[in-house]
Amino acid sequence: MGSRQITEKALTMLRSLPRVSLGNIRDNPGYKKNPKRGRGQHGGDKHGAGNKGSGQRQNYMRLGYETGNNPFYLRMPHEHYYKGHHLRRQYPPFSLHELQLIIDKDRLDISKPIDIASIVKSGMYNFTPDEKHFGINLTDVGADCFAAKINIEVQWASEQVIAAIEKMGGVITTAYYDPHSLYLLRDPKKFFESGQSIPRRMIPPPDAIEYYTSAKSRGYLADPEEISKDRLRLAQKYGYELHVLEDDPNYEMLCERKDPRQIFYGLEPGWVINLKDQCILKPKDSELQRFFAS
Amino acid sequence: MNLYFRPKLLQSRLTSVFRSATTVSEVVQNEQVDIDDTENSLAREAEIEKKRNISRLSAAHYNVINGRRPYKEPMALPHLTVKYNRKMYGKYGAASGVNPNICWPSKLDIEEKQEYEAVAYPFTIKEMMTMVAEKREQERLKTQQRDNEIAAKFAKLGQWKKELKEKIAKKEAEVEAAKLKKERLIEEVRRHFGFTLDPRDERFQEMLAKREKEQKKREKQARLEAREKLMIAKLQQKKVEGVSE
Amino acid sequence: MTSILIKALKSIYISVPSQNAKFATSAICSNTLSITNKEWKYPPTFTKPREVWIENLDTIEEKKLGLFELHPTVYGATPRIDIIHRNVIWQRKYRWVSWAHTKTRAEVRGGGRKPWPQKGLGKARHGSIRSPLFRGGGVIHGPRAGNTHFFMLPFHLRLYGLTSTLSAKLAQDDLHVVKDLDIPSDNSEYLAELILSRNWGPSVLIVDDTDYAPRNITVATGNLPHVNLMPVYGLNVYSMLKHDTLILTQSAAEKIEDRILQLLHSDTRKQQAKFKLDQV
Repeated sequence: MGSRQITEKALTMLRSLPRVSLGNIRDNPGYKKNPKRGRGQHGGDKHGAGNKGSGQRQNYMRLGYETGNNPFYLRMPHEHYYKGHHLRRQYPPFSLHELQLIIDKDRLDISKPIDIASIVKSGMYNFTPDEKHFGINLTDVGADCFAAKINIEVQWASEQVIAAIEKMGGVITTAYYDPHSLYLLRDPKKFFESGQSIPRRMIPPPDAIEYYTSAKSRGYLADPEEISKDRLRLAQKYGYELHVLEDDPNYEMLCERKDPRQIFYGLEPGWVINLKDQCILKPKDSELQRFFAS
Repeated sequence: MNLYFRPKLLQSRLTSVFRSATTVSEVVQNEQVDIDDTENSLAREAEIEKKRNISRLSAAHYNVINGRRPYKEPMALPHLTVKYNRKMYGKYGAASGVNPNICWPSKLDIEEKQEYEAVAYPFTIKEMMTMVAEKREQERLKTQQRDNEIAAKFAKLGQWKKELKEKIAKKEAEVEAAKLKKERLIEEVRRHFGFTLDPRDERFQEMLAKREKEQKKREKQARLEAREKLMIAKLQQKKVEGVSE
Repeated sequence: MTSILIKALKSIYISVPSQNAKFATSAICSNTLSITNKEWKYPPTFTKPREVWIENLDTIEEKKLGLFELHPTVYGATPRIDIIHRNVIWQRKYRWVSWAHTKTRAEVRGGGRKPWPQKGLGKARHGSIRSPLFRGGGVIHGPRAGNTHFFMLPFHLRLYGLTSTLSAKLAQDDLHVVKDLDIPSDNSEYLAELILSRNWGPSVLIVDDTDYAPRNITVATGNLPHVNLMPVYGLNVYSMLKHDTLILTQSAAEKIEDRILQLLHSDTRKQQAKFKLDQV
């Protein structure tokens, strides 16, 4: 609000003024517009509606209509290159620069594995699953000044981004989440308050399976050996010393990964979490257990 | 006891306004009077208890603010649904009085889900990986084939260029020859006439046609003779071969 | 026993140390007031906290039981009168349904027939006697019953409305912090005398931190329409301005401060989003 001196002055002024009550307050000038119709020479006569035509008669043409000729919004024929654009998966971008920002501002805890839920909770990123948003696309803006060792899980990352993170000794994984799981991750509290059991995460569709099973993109379904080979390849390509993860004191935290059917860290499908009672309920029925383990 | 006794404090010198607060308790009481007092006083106390709730909220909202479920008894159709009861459990825990069994899917739910997943995700990960690998292999083969074809065609490119050039040269040569022949005939006829006559004139055309005919005859003769010569040469060769055998 | 002690101490004007001491003070002895050293979650930067006396309701005469610190962002904010005005207008309007109703030319009784022929009479041409041009005819853009004026004031305007009003009240000596709401008798006259003797304005708003008030004060205020009890979550600008004096219990003052500070320092995207009705 106002500066300290102004505030103090205002409060001191109030001490010698009558009591602030419902009868002596008002808003700033210009807050009310007179809804009355103008009368007389300047506001009246035709009341700003002009002469004849649809303007005065309040009988307007529909928006976009160009009095008969082919309107602009109908002129363009279908172009095959954008066929199915409304059905394609989208990954709203989130740059390494922003990630560094929120780590520096202590809005993200890097002593634990980071996933899309923590990034959304920090307040700097949001996405809408019903607009075909399928997760975070970590971009390489700010890759050259990225300086944090993290274990992060995103949905799409390019080679430069992977190199930037592994250069600092971190671990990056790309994982697929179906839209229902993304809703759960966006607002876990709301999901737990709905009293449902945690569902299983679905497998990627056929057109995404290649990305998530390749070591090059650090897919969560890829072969770990291939991944370590690719780590070496990247280290050679971008010219940095490859960190030996085994010697790291945070080895366990850095290697923590989710099961392909798991949505939340540390919570398995089939569990019911109750925030009020601070307890976890696990199913005992064999059929339920079989279903959730499938 | 039947009486309601108020402790007197040092500070409150004011007398109580209410009838039922009787500190003059030692008087002999009629049973009826006692009961009336009790009922009255109990009713008053109940009223005061109600008034102590200063929230001015409805009963449901008052419960929610204090962390209890809003309605104990179901008041509307949605209160009977599984979704609502799960939510009550999720928000208020065991105190909501809901059996947590409903939080998990029933047998029917599980079957439905499995049926849906069978249709929505028909392939397993391994199947999808093989499909993708096949597709990539196919693409690779296709491009390879095309490359090979093009390489083969490249090899023949020089020869095709030469053939094309020859063909064009031959055509041009024919056209040139015909033109030359025509020119020669026209020159001959002109020489024959002696004076400058328009080539398109009648007499010129007649002469030209006659000359052309004669030319053709001569050519035909020449061809016949050439053929005869060839035939004779062949026969002679055969004879020679026959003799030698 | 204790009452005699109180009487004796009253003459020397020394307070009795509070029986339920919630705060850890460095030195409490019967000769000093309980001054609390508060642990701030969001410490006030560059501005001094406001200090208030903790008063009592046990006796009609005023007794100071201690000093209490209030956060300047909440109780010493700029008193934005325009924001206070907007809050008051919002509180008045959002619930209001206007039942004013006029009839249109279709609803007014009669007027189906053409009153006189189109041509020949020398009169103006008309189609019905209930057109808006006629006396007794329908109203064109008049009010229609059941007109709601619901709107939501932006979240931060509502928050600043509260802080402005609290600061204005404190600045004009109309805010008093009381230890708790235990009064000795349930007599309304006791309260009335107390208010009168302490020069608190005729109307008093007492804010408690729970919604279940002590018995005596409920009975006492029940007969006084100008003295009202309110839980902490019911605090609003209109009520604070309507009542001349605002009495907060110590825990209520703390709760208000904590809640407002927490909201000012947190991610309020949900509160700033468009208000959706019937959200379950």
